[in-house]
Amino acid sequence: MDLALPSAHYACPCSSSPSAITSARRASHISAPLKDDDPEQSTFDPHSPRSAYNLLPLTHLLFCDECSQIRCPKCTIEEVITWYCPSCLFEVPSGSVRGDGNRCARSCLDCPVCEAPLNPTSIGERDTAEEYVLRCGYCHWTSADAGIKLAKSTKLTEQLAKFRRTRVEGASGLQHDDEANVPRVAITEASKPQPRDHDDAFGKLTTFYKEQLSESSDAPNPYGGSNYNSPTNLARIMGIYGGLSRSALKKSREKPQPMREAHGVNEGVATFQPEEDGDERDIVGKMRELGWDDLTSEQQQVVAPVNGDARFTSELWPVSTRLRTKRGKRCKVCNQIVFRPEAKPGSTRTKVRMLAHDHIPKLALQPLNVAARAQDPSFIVRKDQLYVEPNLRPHAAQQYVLTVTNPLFETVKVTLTTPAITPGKVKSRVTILCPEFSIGPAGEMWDDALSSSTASTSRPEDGSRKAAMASLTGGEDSERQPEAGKVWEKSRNRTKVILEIVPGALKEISIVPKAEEAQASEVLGEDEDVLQVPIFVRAEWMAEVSHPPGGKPEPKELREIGYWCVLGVGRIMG
Amino acid sequence: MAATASSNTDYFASRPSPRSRPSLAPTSPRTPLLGRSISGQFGSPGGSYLREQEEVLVWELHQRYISVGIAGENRPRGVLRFGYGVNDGRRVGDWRGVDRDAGVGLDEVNEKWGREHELFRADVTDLDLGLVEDVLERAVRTLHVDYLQLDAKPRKVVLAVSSLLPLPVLEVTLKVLFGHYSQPPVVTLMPTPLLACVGAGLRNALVVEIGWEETVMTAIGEYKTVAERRSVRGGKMLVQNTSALLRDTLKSTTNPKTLIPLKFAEDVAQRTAHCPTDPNAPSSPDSSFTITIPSTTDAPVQKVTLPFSSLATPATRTFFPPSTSYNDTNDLPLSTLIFLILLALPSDLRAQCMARIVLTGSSSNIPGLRTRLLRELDQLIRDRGWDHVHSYGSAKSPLPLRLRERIAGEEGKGAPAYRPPAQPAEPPLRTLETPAARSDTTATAIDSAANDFSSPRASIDPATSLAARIDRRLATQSKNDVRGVVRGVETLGAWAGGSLFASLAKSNASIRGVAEITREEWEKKGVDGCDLRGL
Ligand SMILES: [Zn+2]
Ligand SMILES: [Zn+2]
Ligand SMILES: [Zn+2]
Ligand SMILES: [Zn+2]
Repeated sequence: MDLALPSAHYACPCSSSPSAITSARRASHISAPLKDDDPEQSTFDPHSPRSAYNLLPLTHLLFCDECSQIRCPKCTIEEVITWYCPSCLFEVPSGSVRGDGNRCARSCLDCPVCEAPLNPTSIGERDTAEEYVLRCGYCHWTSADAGIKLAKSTKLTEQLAKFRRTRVEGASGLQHDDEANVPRVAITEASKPQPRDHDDAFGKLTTFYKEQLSESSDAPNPYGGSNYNSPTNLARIMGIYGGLSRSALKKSREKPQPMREAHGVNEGVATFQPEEDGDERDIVGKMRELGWDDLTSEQQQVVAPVNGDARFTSELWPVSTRLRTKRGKRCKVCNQIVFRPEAKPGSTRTKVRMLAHDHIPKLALQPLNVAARAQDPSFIVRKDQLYVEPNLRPHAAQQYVLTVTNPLFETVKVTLTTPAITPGKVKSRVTILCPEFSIGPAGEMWDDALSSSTASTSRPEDGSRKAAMASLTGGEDSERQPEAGKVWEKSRNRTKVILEIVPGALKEISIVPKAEEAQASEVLGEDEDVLQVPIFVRAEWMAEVSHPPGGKPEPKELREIGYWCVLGVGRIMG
Repeated sequence: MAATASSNTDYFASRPSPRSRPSLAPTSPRTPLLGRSISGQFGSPGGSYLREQEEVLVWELHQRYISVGIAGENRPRGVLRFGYGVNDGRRVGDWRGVDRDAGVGLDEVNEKWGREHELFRADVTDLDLGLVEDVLERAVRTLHVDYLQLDAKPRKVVLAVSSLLPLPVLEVTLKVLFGHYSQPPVVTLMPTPLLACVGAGLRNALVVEIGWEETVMTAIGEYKTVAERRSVRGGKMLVQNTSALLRDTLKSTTNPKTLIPLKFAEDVAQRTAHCPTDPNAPSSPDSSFTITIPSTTDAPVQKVTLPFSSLATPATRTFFPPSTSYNDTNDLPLSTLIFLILLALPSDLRAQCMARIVLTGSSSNIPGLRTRLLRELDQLIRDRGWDHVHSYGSAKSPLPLRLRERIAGEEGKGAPAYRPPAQPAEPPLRTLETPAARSDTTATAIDSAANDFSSPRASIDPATSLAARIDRRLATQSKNDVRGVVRGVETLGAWAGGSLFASLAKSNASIRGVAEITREEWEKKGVDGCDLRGL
């Protein structure tokens, strides 16, 4: 994978708004590029690590027409419309999503080792009862490795949950309620308890705390936690209606005792003593014996919370597939819907779709010299087709065509500003020959096609037939020279201007030897050798104001929008 | 919650607060929704009957990861490790992270090593807070969208943070949480050592939190932080030592690969680190251990083989260095630190804490570590004993001197000058006036402390009345009360402790967090409006 150059990324204005800084006294800590209120005054630094979080391809941006502003994932509110399982496409009703832990409650399970889907496979012999294991088709893990065999090939998740419960209960049932200070009785190998189960201990501790609280606090609110299910609370509510019991009366007279600490396994406590190291020795022995591949990686522990403390792959538990959602998006400022998909999981259609692509001028850069044009990497599909990043020679001036496309149905006045020297460690010189121009309105799709077929795509300033031919054939017009202040080419909703770029050198040659520190700061990080040009785009147009049907058309209104666009040009050679 | 200044409210209701009001109006008695049986994987027994109530989100912020889940559940719903996502630090659409290892080109002694895997460093002088905010914002958004998948209702938040989280980072975190579209009405802050104590079922404990850049030991009495010490011997040092071991092993092979990316070193440490529980035990016959080196899709599989016993050296060297290899107070071995912190406690509290040593943090489950730690501590106590405190001599041991100074009140007045944690000169034992002592002097002192955001929010002095008061309460021994022996207690961890805490606080108004920040206060005053003294 490589950077797809030349590229264009857009910064949502929300990332440079002053709200990004709460208190002024911290401003000094926030890196320079984005701190100014007026984005035109400060320069957007595409090499700052922050830019990775603020620059997006145009296709990822939405647009709010109420606010007349770009909307990015940071400045939209997401609301879930549908929860569904990506594996079985079942649409999960919202009421059960939470209880199922956002996971498919049917039969979709993922391999805990490699995250591929698991399939139930029969292992039953002909004369014995049918038995199933879950098998991963990718890494060949089977649930038999974890000692899991199931009786049916349906309702897998339910069976697994039951299986786990019995296993945990069996394990904790075996443990004696050894009071913490009594060293554990020697336990035979067979009945040796498993290490304390996290989930089981959590449940016991929860119960313990609840009981303590209801005993120790004088319960100003009998309905307190609304835990009608909790046995202690039920008892208390009954006590209130049926008169106070003797012990309760006694308790109420006493000073409330502070909640005590939990004791013993039955309250979810496990202890360890310096004399006991048997368990740990066993673990180390097992580690040595089993080897690298049977030890769980952190990734396997993190990907599913249920495997959070599995040490060996044999302790890994199959993971129910995590649900996906279809979400609508609203503008965070005015709450207007800017995107809304159809609810059905299978559908790719949308009900509302306000794309920035349809609302803001789009920029694209190509070298003027056709021979230097790079292949678009997204069209490279075969492995033997090598993608070559466009390389730039330092100090060699190059001319580029910047195509600005207008998606609006109005004529748009565009002003481009760019710093003369690009920000970052490598200083390149950039000149926009014609920074102010207008772009015609977009029309129906057919207008475009028709107009281009009549050879009127390009109307160069001089109107010469030759230039028209040149642009039609895509050939280089060697005779025409770009001129300052002149638009290069103009078609119906597209205007091209020329950019002159002199790439800087990766290492500045200096006569004075530099201090070591200065040298160290010159070491280029990843992608600092990529020439990127930040351009601030300001567009103005007269928009029609929406009016009720049949009402009087109101006068048009001035709209404007400004945003940073970063054009990736190529990689400067060392 | 400026009202919490009413001195010593128990964070975790030890008695009903006189002003506690019914937290929730009696709801119409409706049939509780029964937990669906399938929810076994997630719904804990405790969680299911709280469902119909509003949910509280529990966040845990760590230098290396952020996790979130719903209060009352036993595990977080999602954990994101910084620098592990393929898009971390990259623009949308840049997929080069998929098959390239970030950070290649640096070895573990380099200052920038592992930088992309840390949200922040303890030394915040060069920290780009804007970047921290961007990274956190993306992480919070991803966790909401991919793991929580909740509807847009506002939900209260409990935020578990390490007690030494730099204030600027805390401010950015609060800003991100309040700025998220889920609009939490209240954020309750809780320090992770306290939550680890709750997650162990204890009221008093000595919590050893093995974090990334440092290991923090916190003595907790009656749910209050009483004393605290730290050491740079933490997860980062372990991974650095593992990286050095791998590099040395690979140097001698036919295929020298000298640069070890953090991801690989961390994976090796995570899977293979162990400690011999008895350093003097006769070595059992050693066997060799083969590790597969991760490679890009096309490259042939590479392996490295080394003696299994050598895999114990990184952990041993990190946590139990030979006495010759450390020399400053930030660098003490864990067992010595535990001893010193216990030594500084009043006797009843000490007796309680030494029998309640809680290990938590990402590296705390290294096999052998906890037994070794307890054994070394046991040995230290046997060798030196608590009575030796006064005959320690003055120059040799730094602690008694410091202790005496503090008792004399030399450090107890005013806010102590802050020294960044990275500086070795920083005395690891911090001081704290009791809340009572503070409330007179301090409306202004707190303001100035809050303005100087690098100053510690709280500091602890074991020799003050807070510890003494707790100590008096512990004087009477109750049934089942184990004290005076070295013993460890397992914890469910800080996140689960936070989940327990939040689910209890939800139903009981007398349980309060260490600091509560309402949305209103936040919007009006920002971090200056927050009372962070308990943290
Ligand atoms: Zn935005
Ligand atoms: Zn499914
Ligand atoms: Zn698999
Ligand atoms: Zn809007």
